[in-house]
Amino acid sequence: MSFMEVTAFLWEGFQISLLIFAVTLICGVPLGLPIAFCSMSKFKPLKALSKIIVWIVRGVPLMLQIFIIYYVPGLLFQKPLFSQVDRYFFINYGVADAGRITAVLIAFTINYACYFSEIYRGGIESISKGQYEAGYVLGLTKGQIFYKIVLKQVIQRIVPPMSNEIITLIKDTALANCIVVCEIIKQANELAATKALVWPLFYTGVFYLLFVGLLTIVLGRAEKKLSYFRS
Amino acid sequence: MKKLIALFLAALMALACFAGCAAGKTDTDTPETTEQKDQKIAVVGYTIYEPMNYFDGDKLVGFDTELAEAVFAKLGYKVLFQEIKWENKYTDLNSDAIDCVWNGFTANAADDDGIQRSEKVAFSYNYMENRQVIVTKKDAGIAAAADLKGKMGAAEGGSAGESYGKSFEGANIKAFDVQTKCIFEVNAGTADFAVVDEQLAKSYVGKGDYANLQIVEALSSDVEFYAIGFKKGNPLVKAVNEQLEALAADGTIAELAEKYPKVKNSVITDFSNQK
Amino acid sequence: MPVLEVKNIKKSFGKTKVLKDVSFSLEKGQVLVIIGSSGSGKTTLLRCLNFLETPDEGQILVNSKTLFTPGQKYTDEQIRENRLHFGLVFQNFNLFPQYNVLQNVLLAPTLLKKGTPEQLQQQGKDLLERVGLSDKLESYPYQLSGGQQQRVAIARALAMQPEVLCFDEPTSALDPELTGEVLRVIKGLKSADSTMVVVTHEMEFARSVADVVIYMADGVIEEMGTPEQVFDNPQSEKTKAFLHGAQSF
Repeated sequence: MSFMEVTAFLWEGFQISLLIFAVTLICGVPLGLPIAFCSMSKFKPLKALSKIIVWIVRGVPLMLQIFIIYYVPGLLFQKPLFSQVDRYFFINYGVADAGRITAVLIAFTINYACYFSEIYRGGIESISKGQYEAGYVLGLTKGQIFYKIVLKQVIQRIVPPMSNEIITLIKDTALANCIVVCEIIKQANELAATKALVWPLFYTGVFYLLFVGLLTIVLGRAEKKLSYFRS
Repeated sequence: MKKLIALFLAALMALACFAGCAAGKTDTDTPETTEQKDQKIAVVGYTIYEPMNYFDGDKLVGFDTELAEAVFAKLGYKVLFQEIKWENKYTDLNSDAIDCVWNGFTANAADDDGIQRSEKVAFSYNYMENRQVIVTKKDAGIAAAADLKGKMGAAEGGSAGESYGKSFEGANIKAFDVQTKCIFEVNAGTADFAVVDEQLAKSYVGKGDYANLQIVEALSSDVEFYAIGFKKGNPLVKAVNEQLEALAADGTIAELAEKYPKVKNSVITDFSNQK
Repeated sequence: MPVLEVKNIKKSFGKTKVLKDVSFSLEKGQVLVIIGSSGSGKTTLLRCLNFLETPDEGQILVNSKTLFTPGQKYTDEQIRENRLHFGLVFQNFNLFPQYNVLQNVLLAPTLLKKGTPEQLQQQGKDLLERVGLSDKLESYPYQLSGGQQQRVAIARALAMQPEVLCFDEPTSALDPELTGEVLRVIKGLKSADSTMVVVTHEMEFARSVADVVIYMADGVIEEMGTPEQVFDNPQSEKTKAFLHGAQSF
């Protein structure tokens, strides 16, 4: 197998990694907000519930969460949802892995939304009371205060920790491997198993490095763009 | 790219299905309705294992692959081959993630917990003989059981090889998720020897990056048997057994064995003493 | 007719009684200076006027209209409208860091549609000229000195044209050499139609700017009168002791 062929084969897997990355961000970033608001809620039961969820989701390895989401419906409730999705899409559209990827996407989205929510919460709580009061005495509504005054300061503060999580996320996509979703590491292992090729596994690092390099540049720009003020 | 878009759409639709279910819609996801067009589907779990299930270019081939296709074709099923982690095979079966493991599954062995596999899953007829073999680097200097003492061994987690490896006194056996990884370990020098299926070892040792590996014939296990594993109580076992007999009788199995000469001498075509 | 009437305000935080029956009234164009030691309730009084705290008892009237009377439930909307009668300049400025000087001043009038963008723009520039910051329109708060920031905060409060403008120790967070510029600006605001309530520790400033001086101690008005009465001829022992202490600094 030539270098180009291996690259193409690994790229196929890396697209799945990127898919997991993109969907997790697209769904997880907004989902983190309601969780953050719940854990700051004055309504005690809601606050407790969201704190417990965040505790569990952050406290249990992501790999285990993937297992739980994928296997538990079948093991406990005799309803192998994701396997049925696999079967359905295979038979009707000839696409394998749809159910497994769905399970991975759900696990990743929930997991990362909880991490994001804690970052949001920290950011929101770090804004001084004076900023709200200054808004109040000028006669602004709570919504205006949040969107026009607080939000941008929060964003400035959460960009560095969010960058960290986002960079971790692309590397975490390798965990999809645990229920045999064909992400890039899986593809490389397949080359070792099928073609007795060892080096592609290490070559996958280049894909991650290049992408993380790109992320670093983009996120660095965002951080720089927001650095015009100090709060 | 097309495949990616298809997967993305599939995942989105699946997510939408779940959202629908969560919103209180009725159980539209029962197995009967997912199997539309009256097409029955069987999900066959495998790990990459030459010559049983492996890729030739983009196509999954191998003795087990083709045998499964032949059997299920006769039963009117479409087959979805689903790669699994070997150590998760019981979870996969019991959660109905897959319907059977057809992947050089040694039937007459006990797992690490000492419980016979036949008590955990329902096996079909034995259709092939196998042995567990020790694979080392050519210059490893391992020739007898005593040489394994204190050495690092690699075996697939939950495999017959793992149990066999642990039967050597003083050998330190580490479990990996697929057999091919064990050979990878030996080649990388991170393990001194691997305990793997003979059928697999014969396909890999001496090939590609693995040219400097060898099978230590003197340390091979007694003969064991491959069978197809199902969840206990699965009625497919009986149907598959019948088709195995039929395919043995009409010469299909023998033909397949010709196609994969490495397994030729191990194939079983007479099931009369297993009834 | 008084612009502001405060009647029998009481406020406790838990078991601590911070304001115990405070009443006063203020005519249009008057400057009220409130002095007193820390913990005497001055700041809480200002915060009650701006509805950042809710009094437990008492009434607040502006132009004879009752803004607050206890027992009544006020919606967020009503509280917001009530606040518009007052402006507040904070001890710590509380400027919005992501907006430049002009934007800080224009934010609230723009959001609350106090005029056309052109009108507001001009009004904002005029206000900033009044506080001596015409050359800093595009600067961000972190680029300004404390004194300049406080002057922006004053312009920001003025932009909403409050009937009563309150100052909560406007120079306490400033280096001594910067207090002068802020006090001069406040003094410059004194005119026939600007009513102000100033909490301060600057006695000289209080004497020169005040029409009415209140000395607060332990949550009550200990002494109230013209600057001459309070500073030169205090009646209460507590006032005497406080003024003596303040002078000996």
